[in-house]
Amino acid sequence: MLPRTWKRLQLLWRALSGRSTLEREMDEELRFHLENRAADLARSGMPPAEAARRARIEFGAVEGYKEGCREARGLRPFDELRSDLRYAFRVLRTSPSFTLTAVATLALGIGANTAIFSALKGVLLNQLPYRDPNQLVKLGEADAGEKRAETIGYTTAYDLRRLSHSFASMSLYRDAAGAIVERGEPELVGGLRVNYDFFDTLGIRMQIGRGFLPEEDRPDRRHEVVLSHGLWMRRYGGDPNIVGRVIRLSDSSFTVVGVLPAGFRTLEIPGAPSTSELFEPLGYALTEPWACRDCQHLQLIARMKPGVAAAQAQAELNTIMAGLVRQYPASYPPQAKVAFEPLREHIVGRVTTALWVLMGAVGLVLLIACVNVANLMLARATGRAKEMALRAALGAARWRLIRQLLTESLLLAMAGGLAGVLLGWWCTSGLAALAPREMPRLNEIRIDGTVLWLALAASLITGMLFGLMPALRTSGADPNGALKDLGKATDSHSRRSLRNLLVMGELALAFVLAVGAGLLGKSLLRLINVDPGFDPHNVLTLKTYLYSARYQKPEAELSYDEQAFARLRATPGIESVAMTSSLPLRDSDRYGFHVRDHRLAHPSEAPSADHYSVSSDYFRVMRIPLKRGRVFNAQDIATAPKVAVISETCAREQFPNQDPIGKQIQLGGRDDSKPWITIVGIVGDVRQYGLDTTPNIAAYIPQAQNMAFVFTLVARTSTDPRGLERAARAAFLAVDPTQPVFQVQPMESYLASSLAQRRFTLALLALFGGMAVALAAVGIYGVVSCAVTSRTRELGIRMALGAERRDVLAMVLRQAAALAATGLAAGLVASVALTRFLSTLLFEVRTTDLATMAAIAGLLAAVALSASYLPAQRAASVDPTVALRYE
Amino acid sequence: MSNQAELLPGTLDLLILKAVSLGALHGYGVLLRIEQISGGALTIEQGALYPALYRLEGQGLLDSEWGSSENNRRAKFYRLTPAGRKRLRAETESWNRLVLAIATALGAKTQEV
Repeated sequence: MLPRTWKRLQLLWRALSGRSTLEREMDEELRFHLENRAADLARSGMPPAEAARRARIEFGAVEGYKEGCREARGLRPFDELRSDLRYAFRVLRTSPSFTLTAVATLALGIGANTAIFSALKGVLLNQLPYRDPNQLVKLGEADAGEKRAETIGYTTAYDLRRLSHSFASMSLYRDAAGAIVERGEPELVGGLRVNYDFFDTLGIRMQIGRGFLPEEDRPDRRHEVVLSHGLWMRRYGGDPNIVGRVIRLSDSSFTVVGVLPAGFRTLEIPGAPSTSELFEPLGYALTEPWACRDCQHLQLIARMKPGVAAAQAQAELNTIMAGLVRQYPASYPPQAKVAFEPLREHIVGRVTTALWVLMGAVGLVLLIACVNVANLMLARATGRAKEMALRAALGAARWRLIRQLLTESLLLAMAGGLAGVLLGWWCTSGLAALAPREMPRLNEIRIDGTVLWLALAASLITGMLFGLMPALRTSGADPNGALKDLGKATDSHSRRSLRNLLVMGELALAFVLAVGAGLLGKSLLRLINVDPGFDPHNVLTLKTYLYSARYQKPEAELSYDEQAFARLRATPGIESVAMTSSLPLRDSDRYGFHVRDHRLAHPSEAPSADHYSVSSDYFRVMRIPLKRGRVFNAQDIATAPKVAVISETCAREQFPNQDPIGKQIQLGGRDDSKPWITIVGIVGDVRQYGLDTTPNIAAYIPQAQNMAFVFTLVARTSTDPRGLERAARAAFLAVDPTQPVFQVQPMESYLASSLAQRRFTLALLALFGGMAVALAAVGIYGVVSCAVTSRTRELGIRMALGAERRDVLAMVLRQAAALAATGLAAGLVASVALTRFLSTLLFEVRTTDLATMAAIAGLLAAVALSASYLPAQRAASVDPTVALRYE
Repeated sequence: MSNQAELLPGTLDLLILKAVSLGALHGYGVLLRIEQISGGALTIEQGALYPALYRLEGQGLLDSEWGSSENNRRAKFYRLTPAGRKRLRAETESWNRLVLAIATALGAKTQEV
């Protein structure tokens, strides 16, 4: 059996690869037969000419037997395919404008799909680059039923690890940073402090060296460091002997124990720099004060044991948590649970909707492109009805004609697909470059085999989609009728109504897309008009990081700031300067908010307030309005009575129907033995977490009364803050060149990046909506102008009978308007059904926003009418004498 | 001419296999060999030979190779493959059984019924 199959394959290969060789050999073989026969006959005394004739007669119909041979080889389908292809090529070449239009339309559709799918796949569908990533979950403490797994306290995590059985390992981590001064400008390098088994939990092997040992993950140690591949190359020149080397980070010495592979992707932490480049042991113990149950500031990832179901693991954790809540009621709110998220969802969850919406949108664009090409083919079918009728009359089977037409459409689709992939290739790199940095896994977006397969599949399916219906229509024409109409371009009623239907569908789809873009656009406009609570224009920000031991004393740090301030104030263009521990739209720093007169049953029920430690000019620089009382001044020094300023929302929520000024509060843990802070003023709310997030309660403390080592400069400038970046950096480095300053950026860039994701989604959806509308316009133009052409004679008669130019114009436009109105009505219904998928992407706009729908409907109606105006005008300017003779 | 028999359907393949089993042949040679071994009693449509040859080759019963003919011309020679030899044996047996059965049936006399 096997050799026979092999033989067949060989023959098939020979047949396909060397088709002409095979034909030649067959000719030679038959000629050999005829000549030998003729020679034998001549030898028996027949004259040569007669012998040759006789041999041919005896042989029979040579061409028929050749066909029999080909069929015997099982090659006929291939022969037919070859001839179909050759014919299709010829047909397409003879009408280059049709071919170009169709290929370009398809290329747009397939290219956009390729690009968006490559993003979708890279971000959402591809596995995370860790070992068995589906076993990885992100855990967090959920105090108020939140789904998202954020932070957890050390002791809570310790108990979860100790009491659970579903997990192979659990690792804590938090953000870390170290200043590298050796070789070159001081640089603050972001990183993570991790449990010793962190890399094992992820399943990452070091490129060189090793990970951490259990004994290195203790408070009294923390002398080892693991470097990222990038940092190793950048700062240490890829030194192969780096392992064992001692490097200085901030003010301490660390021994490098390992270097991560280049492909390692770090876990992102909200608020931390997106690339972590150095890793130190976490070094926590239960005895540390910051290990307490309420001290929720650590991140926890866990790897489930193989075979453990997520629901089972989650249930186990919640049982354990319920026990902890009972045991330590002072430390947990009564309803505390464990937030449990698959790691993949945690990382990409927030862009899932946007990406699927975009994928749906490009899918619709491709559908519209298909409809357009189908329409073009139907229009052409009118002109080819005669050809088809002729072929049918000559005996071509119907399925043979369908196959021929499908070959043409598939050829078109493949050409479109090829151009589309090239376009998509270009778009994908553009997409990756234009996408906001806030987009997770951006650097993993690329065109790969799967994407190419999808493009191929999309091409084939579109080819079938737009080819099948016209093929069925065209081939089904009655040969009698078509041949009788010899020389006349026929356009049957049913074909016209099919084309009208297609155009209506196209308009409806375009309407849905445009409405989606409109809703997102309106949301963005609403959002841009939201008052952030401060004035972000002409503000320069710069982050400082005082790690050196000589800045341990608050006075030293304050004097560092003051010296820099003096230089900055002397810089032309800088009007005023201030420091803050927490910058709006970038940082997040929450403390428990305790009111002296208001004792809670459990301290853990205290609300958490955004906390800012600011220098006295902060409100003036940021233009945060003072509502009541006073802001800080130069007298609010470390030794002065402790004061605070709170936000309006804080005043309203925490002191209802009272005057908050003069009330006393504490931030962090409540401790009646410690001094209380007196509220002296109320300022406006600030949108700390983004324009779309309602403000939380906030409390401000004078910098002198609450020192930290990371402060951000805010400087109000009179000119473009970008021009002052160098001067601002220099002012700090002049005070102390060993302390790093970084993230020198205008405040507006934070505002821009908080909107970047929305802008990106909107830009793409608007692009696709625009493509859809343009394609629909082309479709309408095509249908109307075709209808006008086929009615030239009728229009001529009308005009000969006295119809005015504008009557004809109005008649054509009226029909186009009817078409558009039906299409838009269908689109309205479809958009009501579809826009609800957008709901999470919208801001203060309902998914059924009437104003948007009406505006889009108006826009599309205008586009439809202008697309029909050209052909209508052509119709109206017909010369009756010419039109009557028109065939 | 009148003493020549028309070929029964399906027997051409069997005759080709038999002809080729006696030695490699080109197409025209197959024709001559069949005429020779049938004592000139069978007529073959000459052209029909070739689709049959191609079909048998496609089924893996024949193998073909280009060589030179007795008059030193390039010609395509067919030879039997092992599968072809097996098929020839099986077909010959079933043909003999058929002939015997038909002959017995046709030779039946009334009293034997």
